[in-house]
This record gives sequence, C-alpha cells and structure tokens, in this order.
Amino acid sequence: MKKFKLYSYTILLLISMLLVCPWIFAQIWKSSRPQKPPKQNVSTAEPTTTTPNDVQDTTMNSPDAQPQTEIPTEPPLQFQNVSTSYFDDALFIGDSRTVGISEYGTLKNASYFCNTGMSVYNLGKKSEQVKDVGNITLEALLTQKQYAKIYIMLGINELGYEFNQTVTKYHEWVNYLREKQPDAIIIIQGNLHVTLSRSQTDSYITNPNINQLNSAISSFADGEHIFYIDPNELFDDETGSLNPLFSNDTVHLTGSHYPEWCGWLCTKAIVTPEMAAASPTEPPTAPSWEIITSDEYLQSDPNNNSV
Amino acid sequence: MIFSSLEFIFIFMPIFLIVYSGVGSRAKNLILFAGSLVFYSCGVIETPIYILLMFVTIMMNFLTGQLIGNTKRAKKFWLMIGIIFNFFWLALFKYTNFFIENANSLFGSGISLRNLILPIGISFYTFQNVSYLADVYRGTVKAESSFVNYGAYITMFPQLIAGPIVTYKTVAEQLRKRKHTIKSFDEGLRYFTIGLGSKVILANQIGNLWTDIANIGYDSISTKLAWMGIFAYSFQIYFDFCGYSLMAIGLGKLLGFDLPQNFDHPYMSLTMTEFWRRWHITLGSWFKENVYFPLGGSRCSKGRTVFNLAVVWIFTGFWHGASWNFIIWGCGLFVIITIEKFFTGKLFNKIKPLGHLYMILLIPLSWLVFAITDFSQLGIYFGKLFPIFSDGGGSVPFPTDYLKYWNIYWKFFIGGLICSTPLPSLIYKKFKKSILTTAVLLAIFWFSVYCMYIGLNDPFLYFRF
Repeated sequence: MKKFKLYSYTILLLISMLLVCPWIFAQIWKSSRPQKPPKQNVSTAEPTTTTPNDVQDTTMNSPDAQPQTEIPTEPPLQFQNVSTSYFDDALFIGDSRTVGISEYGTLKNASYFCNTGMSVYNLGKKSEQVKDVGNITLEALLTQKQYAKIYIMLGINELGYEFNQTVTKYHEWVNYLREKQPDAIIIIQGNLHVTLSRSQTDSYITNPNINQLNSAISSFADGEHIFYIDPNELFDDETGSLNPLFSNDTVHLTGSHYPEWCGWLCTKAIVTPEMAAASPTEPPTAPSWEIITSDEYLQSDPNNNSV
Repeated sequence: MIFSSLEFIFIFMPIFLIVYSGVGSRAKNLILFAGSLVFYSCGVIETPIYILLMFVTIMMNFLTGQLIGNTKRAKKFWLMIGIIFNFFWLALFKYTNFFIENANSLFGSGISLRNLILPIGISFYTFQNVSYLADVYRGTVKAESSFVNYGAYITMFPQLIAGPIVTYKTVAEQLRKRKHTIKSFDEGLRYFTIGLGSKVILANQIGNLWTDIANIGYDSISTKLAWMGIFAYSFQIYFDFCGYSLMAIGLGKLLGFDLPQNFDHPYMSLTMTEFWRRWHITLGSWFKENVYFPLGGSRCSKGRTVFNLAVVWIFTGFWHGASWNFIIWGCGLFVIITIEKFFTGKLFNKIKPLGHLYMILLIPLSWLVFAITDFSQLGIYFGKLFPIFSDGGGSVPFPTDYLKYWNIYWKFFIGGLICSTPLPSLIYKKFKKSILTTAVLLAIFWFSVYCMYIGLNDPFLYFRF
C-alpha cells in the first residue's frame, strides 16, 4: 500500500489512459464502417445511348448543338462483320490506347501511327515508327502510302485544354485526312472512358469531359466518308465508366482485353460499294478480306463471348 | 507528408529548422516533440483522433516504463500490460480485416470488412515502444523520466514514418545531450540529398516499369519482360527504402542525432542470412533482441533453434503486411535461412561467384512473393517467369515487349546495378571534400526537386496516355 501511494498518481494516470482507450476504439470502430457502394447516379456521365455509335445514329441523332450536320440522302451504310484481313490496308492513328491495340490486339496486319501522349496538338510535329515504312511524319506517311481505312482515336490527352479549341483542331485533322487520302474512309473512335474512381477524383480526366468531347467529335461523321464508333459500349460498367475489371491503372485496358476490342472492330466495319466491288472473289490483286456473318464472327473469336 | 515532397522540403523543414535552431538546448526536445506532432498531424489530417491516440500511446508507454523501472515485484505485470496495449492497436489497424476475411472464408460468416486506415508509422513506433519497455524491464536502460523526451523520441519525425527502428537505448544519451555542429549539419544535408536522389531519381523511375507491367496485366507479358519486371521491383524496393532511411539519418544529423544505419549494400550478399543482416538492419536487430534471443536463439538444441527461426521469420513476414503472401514469404525465408544455416551457407560463402549467382536469382524471386498479394496473379507471374512449368506461358501477344521497355528503362537498370555495389560510396568517401562532389550533390538535389515538381504540379507532362 505504501508503494502504491508512492506511484499512485502514475498508476491512476495510466488507468485513465486505459479508460480513454475504449472510447478511442469506439470512435475508430464507428468511423471504420464499410463504405456504402457508390450510388448509380454518382457519375454525371451522359447516357451512352445519346452518343451515336452506329451509322444511322450518327446521321440521324446528331447532338442538338450541331444542327448543321447534313442528313445524307443516300441510304446510309451499315456496319458489317469482316475478317481481320479487312485491316490490311487500314491505318490507326492514336494515343496510348491505340498503342495498346497495336501491341496487344489481334490486328497485327494493320498500320499504326501512334504514341503515348499523342494529341491533336502534337500530331503533325513528331515522327513515329510505322511498320514496313520506318520513322516518318504523318504528312510524309499520308503522301507516301494510300490507305483504304483510317481509324483515329485522340482526345484524352487534350482534356486539360480549352474544349472548343480542341474540337476545332480535331476537325481540322479529320479534314486534313480527307484531303490527303480522299479514297479512304475515316472512322473516328470515341475516347474510351476511365473508371468511376478516376473520374471522380481527377480534375480533367473525367467521364463527363470525355462524353462531351466524344459527342462533339461524333458530329464530324457524315455517314459517307466519315464514321463514328464508340468502344465504350464494349467496356463500360453500369455507371457508364470503364469497368474496373478491365483496367489496372483506371485509364487503359489490361493487355488481355485488346483482342476483344479488335474483335469488336471487326463487327464495326464499313464496306463501301467500291470495296465490295473489289471482293475476294475478284482476281488476286483484290483485297483478301471477306464479309462474314455475325454468327461466323462469334464462332471465330472466343473472346467475343465476354463482350 | 513524405520527405520526398515539395511541401516537406520547402515548407515544413525550413520553418522547423529555424524554430529548432532558435531555441536553447533545453527547449529543443519540446520543439522536436511539437514539430513532430505537427508533421504527424499532416499525415492523419482526415482522422484527427489518431493524434489523440498517438498522445495516449506515448503517455501510456512513458508511464508503463516508469512503473517497470521503479517497481520490483510487478515489473513483469506492467511489461505485459504495455505489450498488450501496444500490440492491441497494431493488431486492430493492421490485422482486423485479415482476420475477418479468414474467419469469413473459414466459417462462412458474413462479417463485413472495416474501413480502417492505418495510422502512419504504427508498425514502427509500436516496435519502438515495445523495445523500450523490454529494455527497461531487462535493465538495459533506465526509464525515461521526462515525458517530453520520451514524446520527442517516439514522434521524432525523421524516423516516424518508415524507420529506421531506432531503439531508445541508442538515442537515450543523445536525447539529453547532443552536439549541433555545422559539420554534422552539412553531413546531414548530404545524406538527405543522397537519400532523396535514391528515392526520386532511381526508385520512382524504375518502379514505373513494375507499374507498367501491372497495367498491362501479367497474363500478357513475355518471359523476358517478366524477369525485367522482378529485377525492376527489386531495385525499386531497395532504393525506395534505403533512400528513405538515408533521408531519415540525414534529418537526424540536422537535429544533432546519430540514427543507426539501416542498409549495408544488401544486394552484395552471398546468402539470404547475410542479406537479412544487411537489409533493414534495425528490424533484424529488433527481432533478434526481442524475439530470437528471449526464445533461446541458437544456444539450444537444433530442433529448438529451428523453431526459434520459424517464429522469427513468420512474424517478420506478418509484420510486413496482413496477407497470406507475406506469411508465405516469411516461411520461405525461414526455409532458405535454415537450409543455409545447416547445409549450404558455408559453400556459398566459400565460392563467392556461386553465392552471388544464387542471390541474384533468389532476391528477385523472394521479392515477387512479397510484391504480389493475390495468389492467382502470383501463379500467373511464376508461369511467365518459368514457362516450362506452365503450358508454355500461354501465347504472348507482344513478343518484343521487353525491347520496348528496355529502351525506356535501361539507364535505370544500369544506375541501379552500379548503386547496389559499394562503388559509389567508396568514391564518395574518397572525394567527399571535393567541390565536384558538392556540385554533383547539388545537381542530384535540384534534379530530384524537378522530378517531384513535374510529377505533382504539371498534369500535362505527367499524365500522358
């Protein structure tokens, strides 16, 4: 007892410390409650259905902001399923997402002019390594070679820039491609969304911004030479964001999902009457791709089952 | 707030140093305690109750230390109280979800996981508190009589977040009396810069390759890239951690402390046993003094020694993270070290090239088990490393991927390799006083600052897709 008196204050202070611990514990425990799943309407992403993703939509449902888009008088071209040889004479232009298609996709026969960080602001400034051609600028490439199909997917690196300026610049590039390759069809791919978590935490790279840009660039489509397709229908989750199961870095697909994208591109092919005329049944100089039915396509691509 | 951040280097540090050097030596510990609490608060700003918890932890250990030091009969009782108290909080924050997950999968219960945010540095300061109590119990040191001194010791910001695990006995004297000289201040700044460069210029950069590989997905990489990846991760974890320890030692010198060395060129080791004597030295010492020796160490039967080693290494694994892969990792280390102790160790020490070859393969493989927490992903990665054991590793969509990434990262591999040897420190020691060395250090500092700046403030340069 004598000793207790000697240390009584220390012991009592210690006990008081111990007493406050349950309270601290309770507070921590309470605040550690599992988080509720994000609400469905958290994302302010516009419904993807408003984004034109087939030829008819592109021509008939142009955004209100672009009423001047002409409605073609000719019956619109329909998307068709083709085999991968369709891409023998295709050129893909784009940023890191297109780099992903070139590296991990199944369309090794296509040509690619792409690089990480590519944007409408630096597209003409740098030369890139192009298969069978070498290091070349876009202008030189388009002068040197003629392509039948040009796929373009740019926009995510531009999200920090002024919106109208980006759209104008993008339009200039599309016109430039038309001018340099008048016989090619141009297929604009909408920018792939980012995951919901990224969209909610980033200042620029958000799905509403991507949707706004996609909506604007989709209006360049004329249903005749320029078309718009939106790969987000393939990879979105229920919130209209990139499904986190398909991405480890919130922005890019993991390598194993690019074949799905390529398979999907095979179902979104535009076959102009000129191309159809040069069908595989023609003499050997003709392109070797053939139009296949969707059933055939599904059978030929096992990855498509997960689409 | 981490050391390799602009706000630490340009806001916190200058203000703190001005105040710290402006006060008399009696008030220095108080300023250190207060400044460290401010530093800690920045890290737990969203959970302010952690500041209270930190305060209570310090007070609790301080009082328990007093009771252990000043009583005769109840020493053990108070030691147990202290140990239970410290490990309770560590277990709560670090291991609750691990136990819930395992209980759920074992009993099919549906207990939901808690959203517990780990208080910064809890793994480190828990070990410091426990070793202090144990040392007082063993009579190695006297109980600290000043609450401010003890608070300054535990919260001391240079070592609060990521070690070294500074034991009380190594700084007990310095807490009362320490020298502040221009020479040690200058030396501290040099250490800090070398650490900053290791972290920002080497670790962060080569770590990007590991991130790139995760983003591609392990199932899509080639075998060569898989090997490049684990070497990159090995360099990243070393220069990251070693860099942080060097920054801590440097900051300690600025404040007049001599903090213990934490790394001694571990990648030059010939065996795993040697590696763990040279890697995170203060953690190894902690386990040796507080677990291995009290259990009997190796001064007992072979069977008992093996058991003691098993306990130490399983707990070492578990300390690194609350996941089965860390336990497996610890078990792997135990098996390797036990085999070395009784069989292969002598051979590797005798034939040095063989030892180096053995470690060059073993180190990255052991880090792989450490790095990938998901077992199915770990299996995929192993399949890529050793396609012979899997069905050829599956088809590789981009077979020349390793060339692409080698072209980007080769300079960091070469830099990492050179800096893993004692060569740079030998050169540094020889030309320490040369003006050229000072210029190189200045260049390292400002280049690191530049890297931090573009990484943080300019999304147009950093976020490139």
